Amino acid sequence: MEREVFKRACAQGGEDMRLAFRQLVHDYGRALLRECSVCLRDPESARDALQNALLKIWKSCASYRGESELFPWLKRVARTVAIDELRASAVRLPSSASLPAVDEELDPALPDELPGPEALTASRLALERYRECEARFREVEPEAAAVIRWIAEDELSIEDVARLLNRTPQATRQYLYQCRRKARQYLAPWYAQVAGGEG
Amino acid sequence: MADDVPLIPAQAAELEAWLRGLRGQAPESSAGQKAHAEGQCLQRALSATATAKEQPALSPRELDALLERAERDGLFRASGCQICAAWREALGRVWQAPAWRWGGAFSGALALSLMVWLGLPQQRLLWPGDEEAPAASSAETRGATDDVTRGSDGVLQLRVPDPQAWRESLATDLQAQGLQVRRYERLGRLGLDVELSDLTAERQPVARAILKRRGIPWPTDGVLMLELSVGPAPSPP
Repeated sequence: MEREVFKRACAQGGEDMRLAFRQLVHDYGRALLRECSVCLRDPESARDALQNALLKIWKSCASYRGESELFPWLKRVARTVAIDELRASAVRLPSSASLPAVDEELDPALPDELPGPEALTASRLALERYRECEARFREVEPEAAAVIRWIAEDELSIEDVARLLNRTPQATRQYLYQCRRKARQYLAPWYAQVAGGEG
Repeated sequence: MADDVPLIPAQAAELEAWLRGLRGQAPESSAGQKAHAEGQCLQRALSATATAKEQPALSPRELDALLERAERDGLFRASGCQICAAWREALGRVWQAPAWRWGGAFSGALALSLMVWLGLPQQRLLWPGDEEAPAASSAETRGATDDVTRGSDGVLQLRVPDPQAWRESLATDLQAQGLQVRRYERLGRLGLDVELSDLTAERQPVARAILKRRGIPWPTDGVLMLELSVGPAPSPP
């Protein structure tokens, strides 16, 4: 969908918006569902988040001024909705309640000499190890894991992340610093394996 | 560590190096190389394990249910002024358009001005100061005045099947009463100007009858300005 079509449908409302709604789901539905799934691992929750995101997209469509591409804007709305859902579900039913708490003081030192990034993902074994570690990380710290993935995928700046999380840039720096510590903690076995040449 | 506590410079530099590695950017300096390598490794792993699994989008049933929900929320209510929105958008596009399109915009504005000058769009004729033509009181003029409109320039506009013959008939009748009739043609429309104030008192009732017969109201300022265009025959008086 072209941004002009989106803007026009937003301005006109009515049947134009209904048709554009369908078109948007057709064009971007899968991609937006993927964004929600990065944050919300449960497929049903991700689909609910997608539906809420689609409604929010059209309710707030007037705030899209058309200066940037449409998809990044859609993605940002979907991510915000997914994070909100994640936080709400964490309040309702802490998913990590049954999991052992992360030792805040634990900040494992990485091997002094990390092999090049290629080596870390070159072998199937290393990748399997990474997947295990990341799965655990996502399970216990879904928001941190999602934010790290979004930064890597879209090269988000600290300001971008701050807007996404509705935090100040300073609070976001602090938050990201903690995200990094958590990632190191959960991924430490993977780092150790590849540094030890087991991969 | 509380959110509002700023990072110390070393931590901030390390974070920045890690983020640069995570974004796949080159390190800014030799400082924080290890953090950069850590971020870079993570970025590579994330990209290698990015889920390529095709997930089904909303099913038609889910989409219909979602549209119903949106409908209930009032999302598809048409905006108050769709024409205004279309105009705003069109004007916005012209504003952003290359200079050569200004020519088109200028022509449009000129055409609009011309329409106003020529009396289009026309207003339904009202006769506030005309004692001879109260809308419903005269059966003789009622049908005809419905076909007469006054442009914004004060010229009466009348649609008749044969403007040329109609104008000649009127002009001849008025000239017979000693009036000076000026005939003209403007943009393909036949026109006629007459100074009715030149009439003598005894001829005025006859002139009034001539106009009334044709459904033309008596001009309050004593000057009849009339333009004719082709159209259906006026309703018989």
